[in-house]
Amino acid sequence: MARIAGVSATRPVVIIGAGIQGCAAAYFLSQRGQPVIVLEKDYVGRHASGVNAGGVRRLGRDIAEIPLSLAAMDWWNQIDQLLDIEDGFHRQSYVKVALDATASNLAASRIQQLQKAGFNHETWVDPGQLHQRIPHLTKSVLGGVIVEGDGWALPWKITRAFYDKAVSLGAEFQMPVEVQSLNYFGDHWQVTTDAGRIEADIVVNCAGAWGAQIAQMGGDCLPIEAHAPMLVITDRQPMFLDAVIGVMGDTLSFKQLDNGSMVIGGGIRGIASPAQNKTQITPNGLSTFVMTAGRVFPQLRDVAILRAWAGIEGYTNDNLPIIGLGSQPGIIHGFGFSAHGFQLGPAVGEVLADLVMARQPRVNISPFSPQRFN
Amino acid sequence: MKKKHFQVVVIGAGPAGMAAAITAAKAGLKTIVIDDQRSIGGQVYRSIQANSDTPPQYLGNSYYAGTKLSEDFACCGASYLPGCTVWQITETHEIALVYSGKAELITAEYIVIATGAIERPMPVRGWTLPGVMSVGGAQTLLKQSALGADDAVFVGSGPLLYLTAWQYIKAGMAVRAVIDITGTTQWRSAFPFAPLALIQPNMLLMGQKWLREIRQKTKIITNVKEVEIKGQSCAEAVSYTLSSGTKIDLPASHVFLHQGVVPNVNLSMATGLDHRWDQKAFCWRPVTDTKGKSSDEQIYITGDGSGIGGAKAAEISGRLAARAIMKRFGKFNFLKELYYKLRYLHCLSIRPFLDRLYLPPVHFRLPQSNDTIICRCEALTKSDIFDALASGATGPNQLKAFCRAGMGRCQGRNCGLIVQEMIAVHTSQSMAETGYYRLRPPVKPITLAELASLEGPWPE
Amino acid sequence: MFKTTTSQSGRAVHLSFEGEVIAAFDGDNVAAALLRVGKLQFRTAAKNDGRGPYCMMGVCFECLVEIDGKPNQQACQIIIRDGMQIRRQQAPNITSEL
Repeated sequence: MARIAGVSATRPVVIIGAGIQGCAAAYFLSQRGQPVIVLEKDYVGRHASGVNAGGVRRLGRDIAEIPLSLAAMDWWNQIDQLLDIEDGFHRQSYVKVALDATASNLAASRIQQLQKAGFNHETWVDPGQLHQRIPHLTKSVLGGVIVEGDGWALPWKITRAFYDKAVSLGAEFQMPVEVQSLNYFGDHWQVTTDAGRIEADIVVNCAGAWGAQIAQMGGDCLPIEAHAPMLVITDRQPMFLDAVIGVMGDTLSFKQLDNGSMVIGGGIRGIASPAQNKTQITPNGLSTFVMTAGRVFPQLRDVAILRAWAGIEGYTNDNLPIIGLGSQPGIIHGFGFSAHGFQLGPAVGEVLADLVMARQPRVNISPFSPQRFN
Repeated sequence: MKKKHFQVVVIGAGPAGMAAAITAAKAGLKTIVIDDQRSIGGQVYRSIQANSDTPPQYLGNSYYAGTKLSEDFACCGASYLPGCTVWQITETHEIALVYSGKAELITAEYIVIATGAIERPMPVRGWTLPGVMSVGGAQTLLKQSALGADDAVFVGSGPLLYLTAWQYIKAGMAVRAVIDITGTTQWRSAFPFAPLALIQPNMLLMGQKWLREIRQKTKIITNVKEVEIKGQSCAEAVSYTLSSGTKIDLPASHVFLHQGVVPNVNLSMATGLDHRWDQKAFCWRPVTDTKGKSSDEQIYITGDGSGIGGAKAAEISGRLAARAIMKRFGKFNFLKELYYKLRYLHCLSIRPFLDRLYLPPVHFRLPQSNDTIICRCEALTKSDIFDALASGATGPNQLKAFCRAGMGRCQGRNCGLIVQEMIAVHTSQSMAETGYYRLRPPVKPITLAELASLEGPWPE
Repeated sequence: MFKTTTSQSGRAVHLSFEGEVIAAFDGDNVAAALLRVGKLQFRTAAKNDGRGPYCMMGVCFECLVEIDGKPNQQACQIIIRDGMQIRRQQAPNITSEL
């Protein structure tokens, strides 16, 4: 594995990508006094970071990812103070409901598995309690797995707030600026963009769905695929829900925003064209997860959908992110979050800042090593 | 379920859509017309069939020009699906519909988008008060429901304003006043194009006739620099300021606003087709070739939806598009195509004059008061938009995230052009550089149960 | 006040608007039927301001009403039926149920 010699006083750290990871990394580095330049080909939060479902959950994560998720939760619980914003995090609960016996069994074994690994944040909740808390929930629910204190945030707002805070601490953002090549010169990187050249001691790749392209420029072959998970938003309804709802063994995320609109998603994919910055909605795909929403909340049949959209996100083949040092000195990767990186953002920003400054991150990131694809 | 397949799917049943369908169906192509409205005619020939039985004369000859077209359409052999909403066209030319509460996908070899025009927004203070309608809306009530309001005030500019005021007078309604916002500089910029407009003397004479007959019954107020509608819960008065500075309040419980029409591009934009900003006509229009072929080889856009030309031009452009499609099925008639091309150019000869004369002045395109509502759906005012711009929004799509402008049911149909121009002014960019809202399906709102019906019945 | 411009009158149909019985012409759309009897305000918007029909062609979404319990119906696009129960569409009170 490459070693990082440390950062010189003259050259900045270049972060590629102004999504949540890039902006959070820029924030933590700026806060520690490190000069940072962020290069973004579109604008802050243009893709997955700005338009995802906004779930802030520890629920349902791969065991390898839980420590990072728990570390991120510490930041979420103080996100307003951290970023000088209001109502940044809507702390509620996150429930994955079980609609049939197979799902109940799945839930039971999941809870057991987590307990064996030493994690107790996911617990079983019975149908009586669920109906008490969530009035319109289908009568046929058998129970669910709940995490108290999970919730949601407006993804665009948080990404933007990390950007604002980083800027106020001195970070420089150049956009729209597209990186064309990366060249290593023994002690520094030359970053060539469509707006000129920048010399950097360290390059941090937070390019999301475009991360593999940037990695390639930096000499690493890291396989990710671009996909476009779809979402819909409804018009305003009277408030009835103060939890985020998923379905055990199925694809759904369902929440009600504080203006009454509901955001429904869950990961069913549209068509992504990352080269054109475009996504396409597939009608049948939308229908699939909206039907799942109907199984959970049948009384919402006449609620109108105002928009459907999809953001472009990079997926790895094991659904774990790529976080760590690249094969050449001075390149660090942080992408491939496979549509569950939003909640991790603050902790990933901190980890990336640690890696830049050659500090040991406070959580184990070895499961996310770029070298696992060798 | 096997998807129904058509050689030609026409969306919209105004003059362009009907003409395209007639031409395609008569050539033997399996054609269907999908119409959001409940009966054929589009906006210009709204309720043409119902009105042809007992024709009210006040609608005038230009309206009854649609009778022949509607009769031809009725027997042309194309299928017709009224009350059916198209909510998406996919890249593989599947068309997603909602009909009678159920969603369905059909497929098409060729698609003709003929979704017509919508009225340019006119964000004067008080334009959201009940009692204030668009002139197009008032005219629709007259055509479809034989409804008119006494003592209404008409405000704005453009042919439709005068046509509707004239129809009102012919229908025996008392019109309190017509307030014309056309500025003197516009006459100057339009003048050089008057000779070209003279190619269509009938159109100009008809306009003269409307003006003359309106003047006999009511006053036309000109040199107006500001208009505001006052009222508590409903419109009570129109307050206008003359360029001399005099301010006058005119009591009115019905106020009809209009400052021209622009292509209805929501479907073509949401389909991902290329569009360009037309600075002269001051609107977005899809990029098409002379026969309406869009940036997608299999999608044609005709009529006012591809650029404002009026009903006659729309009808001919519909025929041209259908002929271009026929050609691709190996059916080609050089003389007929040439004939329609020449007629099309003839119809458009008046547009450069009209576009310049009736481009609304900037102080009517942009809101003048801080509390004027811009985004009607989210009830966002001029100052709400400026707050978002001040906190760093640099384009229409960021503005959506900052303050939810354009995120309501109308998907920007009411506020899109206003917001775009406010941003352009704020950032000193051109309208083209500023761009428009990124539009997404569903093009019109559909319910959860309607969408899920592609999978099956909604759970009970 | 809107009034009928022709002598023609359709078969009478009865609707209720906010509980009040209204006579209308068969074939009217809901918006026209309500305007015919002087009802101008159809709904309240996000800041509780009143709105009524504006474009009459289905693009402005200002004429939304609740019809037979089904919310957010475009009054200008729906043909009346005898016995239709119509109510104003109120902007949801988003603090009501929690």
